[in-house]
Amino acid sequence: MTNPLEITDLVYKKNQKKIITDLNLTLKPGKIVALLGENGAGKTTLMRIISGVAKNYRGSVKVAGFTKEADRKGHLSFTDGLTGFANSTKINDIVKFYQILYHDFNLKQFEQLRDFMNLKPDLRLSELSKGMKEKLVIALTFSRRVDLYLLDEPFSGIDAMARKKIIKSIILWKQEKSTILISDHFVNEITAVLDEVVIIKNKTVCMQKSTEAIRADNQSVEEFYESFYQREEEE
Amino acid sequence: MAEFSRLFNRLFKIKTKKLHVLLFFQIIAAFACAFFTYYEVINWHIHKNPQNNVGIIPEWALYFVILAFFVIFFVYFITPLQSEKFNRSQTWRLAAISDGQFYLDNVLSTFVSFIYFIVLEFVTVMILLFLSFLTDKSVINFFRDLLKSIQRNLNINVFWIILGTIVLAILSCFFLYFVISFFNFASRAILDFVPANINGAAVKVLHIFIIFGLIWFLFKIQNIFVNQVLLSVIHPSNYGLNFSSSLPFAILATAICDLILLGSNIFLINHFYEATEHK
Amino acid sequence: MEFKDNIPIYLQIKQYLYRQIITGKLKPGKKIPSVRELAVQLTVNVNTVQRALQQMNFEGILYTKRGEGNFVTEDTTLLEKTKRELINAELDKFVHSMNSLGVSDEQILKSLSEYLKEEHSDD
Repeated sequence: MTNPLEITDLVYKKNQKKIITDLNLTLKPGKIVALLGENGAGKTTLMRIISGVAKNYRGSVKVAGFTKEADRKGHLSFTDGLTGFANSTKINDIVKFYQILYHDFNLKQFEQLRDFMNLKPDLRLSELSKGMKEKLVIALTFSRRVDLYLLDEPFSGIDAMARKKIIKSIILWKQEKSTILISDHFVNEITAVLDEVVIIKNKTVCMQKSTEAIRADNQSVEEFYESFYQREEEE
Repeated sequence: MAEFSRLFNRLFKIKTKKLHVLLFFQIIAAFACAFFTYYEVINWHIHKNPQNNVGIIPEWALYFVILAFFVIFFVYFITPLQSEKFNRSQTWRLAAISDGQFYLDNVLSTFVSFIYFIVLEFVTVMILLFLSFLTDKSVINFFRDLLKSIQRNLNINVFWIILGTIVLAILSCFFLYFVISFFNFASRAILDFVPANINGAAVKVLHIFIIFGLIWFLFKIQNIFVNQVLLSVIHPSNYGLNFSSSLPFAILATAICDLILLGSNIFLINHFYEATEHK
Repeated sequence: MEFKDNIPIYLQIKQYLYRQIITGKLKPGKKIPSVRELAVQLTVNVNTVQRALQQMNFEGILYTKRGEGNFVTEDTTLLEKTKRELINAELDKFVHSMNSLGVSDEQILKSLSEYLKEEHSDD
């Protein structure tokens, strides 16, 4: 079985500044993985490169074995801020857009997710709070059937209760073989659902480890993650 | 290919939505103009304007045609600017299609929606004229004379000139689209290479400078390319031909410029021009 | 159910299921919830639940019927043994912490019986 994601020797520069250097990362099928790093570490950029919307990088990026950007986009689902829509757009119209643009979009699944998250279909984008919008984005992202899901800080505007609900929905709706990469700058609430953590520091992946292996060393995932950034402060 | 046409349909629908509203307002505005030419309002009472000797419906049609020139001109320039929004949007660029094909979809849907708008305008004029026929005899005579004079002057030469002009108009239309995209893509791509240590306002100023630089560059290139390269290679007299007009040459030159610009735009969007990161 | 984040979660899931079985919430011979149901209910990773159930299958406290799911064993001696192990583990913890407070084994026994007498006379 091909891996949902394989990145080798990735380098990305913007405005003559290196944002990602010599990054290698492989994700196996069926995993839930956290992409951790402080703000500005390059998590969003990495996801944009994987999705083919950030350009002019060096190195190879394979999604489900595909290198061409069009194929990659067809095999991954990336949380998008829905900025391409006018504020007056109704949820239903956004759904239509997704149905047309993505042949793997499953309307039934979306409706279940939408009900699960208590979103009314005739609401307009401007009527949604930040948390509701993030729920909508997640519902849309998970209504596609793909090998790789990229969630870019999906919980930032969401209170603890809703966060738990979203995490439950992820467990409930995740297909067995698909892999989910969730970026965040802190980790505590989602650790129980993670298979692995990938830590980004100094513009590259500095650690990839299974959460159960971390716990087997009597360390919590949060402590493990923080230890990487504390070491830097001490230096 | 299925993705290509689905995306095209979606873009076309979104782009024509506003055009319908515009047409509606144009019809209303033309009627308002006709109404106030035909009638006078004196002391809150409506009187028929004694100086006016045409009916209100022909008047309406006339104002509609006058407005149409402005409105079509406006749409011609505004729609390609608006379609750049789609090129920049991450939401759209995530569609499972290559960026080059996405760009083609975007340009084609802009063009087709523009043609669609012109057709709508034409149909509206026809409907208004038909209504004029029903109400006003003098209009019928006017058009009978017009048709006769057209028939008299119609020969094969005129036909070719009309056809050539239409082709040139279409090519020029694409030329405008491609030039706008080229300035957008190239300036952004250059901006991404500029060292990072300048702040927001300076970036905007720099962006404008880059665009001006590009305009100057394109102007120079076009001068050299068209006047020296193209003219010397494909000038009609080189082949012992002598056209009565420079139309075929203009078509060929525009087509070549279009192709070069299209090629560079597709290259830029595939390899350099990024969707915006704004969340 | 809250999990401690510095102990492997599959072990904690096992502990949780043992308790459910011993307290009778999951009855011998009865089907336990599916892997996904358990994962959602406990808000943990499906793979982790899978690993816990695999081990419990291996230990014999659960058995799998193909295509139907996991069932609690009806082997009473095994259930008894599991219960004893769980009790021993709790006692272990208790004695350990008493010892670390400097209480000797005899004192533990004495304190415990006095404590139980007092507590139960209150009822």
